[in-house]
Amino acid sequence: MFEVFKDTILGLVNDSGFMGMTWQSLVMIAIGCVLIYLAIVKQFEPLLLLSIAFGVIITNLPNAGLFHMEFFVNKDINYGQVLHDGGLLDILYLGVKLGIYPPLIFLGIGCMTDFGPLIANPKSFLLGAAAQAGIFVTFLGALLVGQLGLELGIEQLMFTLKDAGAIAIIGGADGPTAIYVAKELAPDKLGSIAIAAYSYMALVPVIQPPIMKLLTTKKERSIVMKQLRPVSRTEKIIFPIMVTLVVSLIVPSAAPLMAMLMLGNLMRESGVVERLVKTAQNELMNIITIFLGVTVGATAKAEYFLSLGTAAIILLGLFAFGIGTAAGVLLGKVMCFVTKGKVNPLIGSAGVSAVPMAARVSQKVGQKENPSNFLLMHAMGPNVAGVIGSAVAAGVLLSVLA
Amino acid sequence: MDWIFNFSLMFVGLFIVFVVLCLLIFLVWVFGKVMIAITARKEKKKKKAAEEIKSQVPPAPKTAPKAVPAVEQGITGDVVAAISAAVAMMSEGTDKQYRVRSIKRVKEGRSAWSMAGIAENTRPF
Repeated sequence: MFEVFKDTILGLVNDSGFMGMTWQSLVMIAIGCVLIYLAIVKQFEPLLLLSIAFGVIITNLPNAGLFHMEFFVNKDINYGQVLHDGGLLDILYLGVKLGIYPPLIFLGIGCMTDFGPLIANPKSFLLGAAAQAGIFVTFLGALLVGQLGLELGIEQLMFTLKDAGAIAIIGGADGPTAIYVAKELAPDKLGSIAIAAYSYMALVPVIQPPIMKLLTTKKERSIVMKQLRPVSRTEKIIFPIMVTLVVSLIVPSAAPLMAMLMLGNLMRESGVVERLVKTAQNELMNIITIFLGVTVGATAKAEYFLSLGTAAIILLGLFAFGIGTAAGVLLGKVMCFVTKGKVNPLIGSAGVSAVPMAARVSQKVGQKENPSNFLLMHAMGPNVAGVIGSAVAAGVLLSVLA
Repeated sequence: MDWIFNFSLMFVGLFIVFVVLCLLIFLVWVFGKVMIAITARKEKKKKKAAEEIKSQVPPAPKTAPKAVPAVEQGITGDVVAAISAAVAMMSEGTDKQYRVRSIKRVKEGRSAWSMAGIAENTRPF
């Protein structure tokens, strides 16, 4: 009897997570705890970061087998194997892998977005486009790092064209877009890219102001912009239809994101499906956010995450945000010059998406120079243009690299 | 690594983003102009119609006594002033002018709660 008792206990001990614990798992669990701290205490994008962080912890529990990254790394997924051998997280991850969650999140975002400031001042689109320079310059930066890795013989830094495209999209400052591109171009780097994207989005108020101040003069920052014209309901209803048609016809790869964003917005502006709008922007969005967060976090397995590659992705992400902000502000300066001081260049930085945080930063920096200046509505134009711009950029990257 | 391809990919990507967004600027701008023109025409028509009506109505004799609203007993002067001010505010910025003819208490009917309940249950899906 004692033998049976001893064998059972030994069996349990051998099967326990403690026996399979490696230093890598411990580091990942610690990273997960730090992310939870940032989400709860520092309120860094808590809606997503909290579930991402918890996903990081549970995916790295030894012997638990909650998530099998190996099912999804290859281009052709064996769906039978996922359903037969996979667990909850594997099945939920199909929503990421098949590109279902990001467009659904966009549906909710569309329901919450007012494109009025952009329609009233369509020139804001230019600022939204300029800020996408962050994506394309970082694409080159990632390729340079890849070349460096090749020359130094460091395999983890040998970024391919696809990797570079996936890393560059961090510059779009748009979480769902980043996930949508990364799951297609570099599924093994999805965890690092998503964590970098969401962390930097939360850090927009820290990253952007020094760049904005560096590139503008006190006089430019104090410019008070003319009040925007009121936009009619008809314009607001036609806008989403027009944008969907134009963008989807020119860049079909961007259609899923753009179509869902604009469907949400059409539902909002039509005013006849209030119940659906409420569901899309609350319950549906919340459910998808939970699924997306926990599964994206689960992709951050120690063997994929703990590498020099992740460190490079984090640095390249910061570079992308910086370049995007600078490009937006610089085009804002050009517009300021052309319009003889009618445009405050600070609104250019809002072109990096990160709605509405980037617009709030423009407002805050502008108000510091001139307390009676209200740039928020003017900055919302480039801000929502940035969402459209990053979706277009994502479509371009996917159509060329996928 | 083919750097010429990489550079051209970067420029082509940025170029496409600019082209798409410039096209949207043009479309939104044109559409905005059309909408402004339509609204201005409507406003003009409304103004014209209002002016025509004004010119058709003979001016009121100067000696005519001012119309005083018939106020139900028990309604204080303050309430009359508040209602008249609200009506005057409604007519502000429009061509229409309103006159308070009478002020009566609304008959007691269903409570606000029962009205809300009826509205909720009879609203079509």
